[in-house]
Amino acid sequence: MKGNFLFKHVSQLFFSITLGVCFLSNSVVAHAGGLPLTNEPAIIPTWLFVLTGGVIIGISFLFVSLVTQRQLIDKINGYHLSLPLPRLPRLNTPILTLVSVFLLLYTILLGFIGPQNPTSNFAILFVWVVWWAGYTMTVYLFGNTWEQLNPWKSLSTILPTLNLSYPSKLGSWPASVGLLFFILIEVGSDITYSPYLLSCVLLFYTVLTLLGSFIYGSDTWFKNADPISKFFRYYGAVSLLTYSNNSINIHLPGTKIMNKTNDAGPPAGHQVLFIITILFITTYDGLISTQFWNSKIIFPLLSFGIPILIIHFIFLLFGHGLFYAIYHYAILIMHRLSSTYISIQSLNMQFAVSLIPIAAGYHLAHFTGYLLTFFPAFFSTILHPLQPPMFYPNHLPFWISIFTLIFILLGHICSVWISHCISFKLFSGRLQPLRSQYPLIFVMILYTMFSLWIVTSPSV
Amino acid sequence: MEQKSTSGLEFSVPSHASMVEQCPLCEFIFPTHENLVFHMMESHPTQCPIETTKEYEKLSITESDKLFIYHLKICSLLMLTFMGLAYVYAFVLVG
Repeated sequence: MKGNFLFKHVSQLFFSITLGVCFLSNSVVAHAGGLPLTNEPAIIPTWLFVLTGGVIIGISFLFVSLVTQRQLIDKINGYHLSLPLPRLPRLNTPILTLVSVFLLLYTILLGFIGPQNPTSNFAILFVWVVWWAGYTMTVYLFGNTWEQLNPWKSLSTILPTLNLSYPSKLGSWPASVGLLFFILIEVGSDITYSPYLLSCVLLFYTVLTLLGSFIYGSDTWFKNADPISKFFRYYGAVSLLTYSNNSINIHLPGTKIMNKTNDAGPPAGHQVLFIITILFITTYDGLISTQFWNSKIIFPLLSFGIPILIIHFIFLLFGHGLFYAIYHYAILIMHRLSSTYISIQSLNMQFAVSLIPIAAGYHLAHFTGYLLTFFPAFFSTILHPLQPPMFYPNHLPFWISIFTLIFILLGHICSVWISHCISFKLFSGRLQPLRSQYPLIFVMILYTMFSLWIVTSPSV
Repeated sequence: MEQKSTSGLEFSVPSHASMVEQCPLCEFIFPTHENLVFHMMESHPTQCPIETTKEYEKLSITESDKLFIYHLKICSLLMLTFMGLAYVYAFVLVG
């Protein structure tokens, strides 16, 4: 009975993949694996490269399946390398606050009065290269420092507040909608190229955030409704480092979640949606930069006279819904396979955190080249904010592209491990936890292949 | 029927469920007695009665046998995957 059920679903999924591969092969094989940062053709065709990525994730699950002793799992999660923390003078919090608020005001100002060429403008380079690409990397690699550096939070604490109670029904919805809206204007407007527009959006976000914290109180607003704070909190939950008084501890990503030593914790129901949003926006950000997406989807729709913002709005809503539906469907099958009485909603919540390393790995892969290319330009704008020298981007060495692919695979392998650990916490025995993971692993394999296809596709 | 355990997990027991076993220590609910025995020994090893410990030892032997077969399948699958991938690479690179 269970075998028939599994066979039916697996055959349905394989049929969908076959259709997907047929649909995508025409363009992809024609490009034959040209990596985005080089003009060197890859030796193997893209489909084989993408298939290999999927196989690596499958193999990593098979290897992880050999670890079935709970004591060993706890030992691996508890393992950390402690390094003594050098005695550095502690940075004073008011000084950090002043610096972060100054940087916010300086960025907004230079967006208005600085040069309007994007590679010469401090605001553009600081927001997109240093903050969105570089700073986010530090959060999931080294830990969340946004609580201390958030300039809007610093500003809100000096303002009065009405301290109204936050409607619990809203949950994380404002944060999810805010994050989707942020990506909508990033991909559908000139905000990444126009310093003036960027400063306008920063001003709008500042007013909205301060208004929210004025109504509900600073802590409540930034904990529940602010998309950026939540975004960094979840990324910080999978960081490789934790700090104690005299030492830095290096451990596996996600062990903070396993050992419940992070402030993000297993997410509440509505927060699953936010984690899916994080995963989706990083993917969509990469997808829209591919030639395939632009030539086959965006340009034909634009030729019908549909505005670009509407196109992205529809795809963001549809894609986000699709991601959630796939995840939820995988959990539904997991619930049936594992014959458990744990509710589907609880399984949804518990396994959602295993998706964060995938998003982190994809972010690292997508933005490493971008960060390395444009960081020198940012230095020039520090020294000459109003008249920086002309910037000529250099081509990055070939091996950087290889690293980006490794980051995607590493993110997925971490997720496979976290999912394995969660299964062993929720289900009893040793066979039930292993069998319960099939649907989620299958989705991870498909997503890895999709991510690898995105990063190997020629970009516009 | 919906219920919450002390660990914060929610449970949903179908109305037609023939068997419902509940952990007396943490209110975790299971569809089979075997699951309950495994859970009690894995989560509360020091608080289990001797009968449960003996039952666990029996069930553990049966599960170990099944797990051995499972791991054999995993190893076979690993070997098949490596071989399959090597063949695909060989055909693609030669062709």
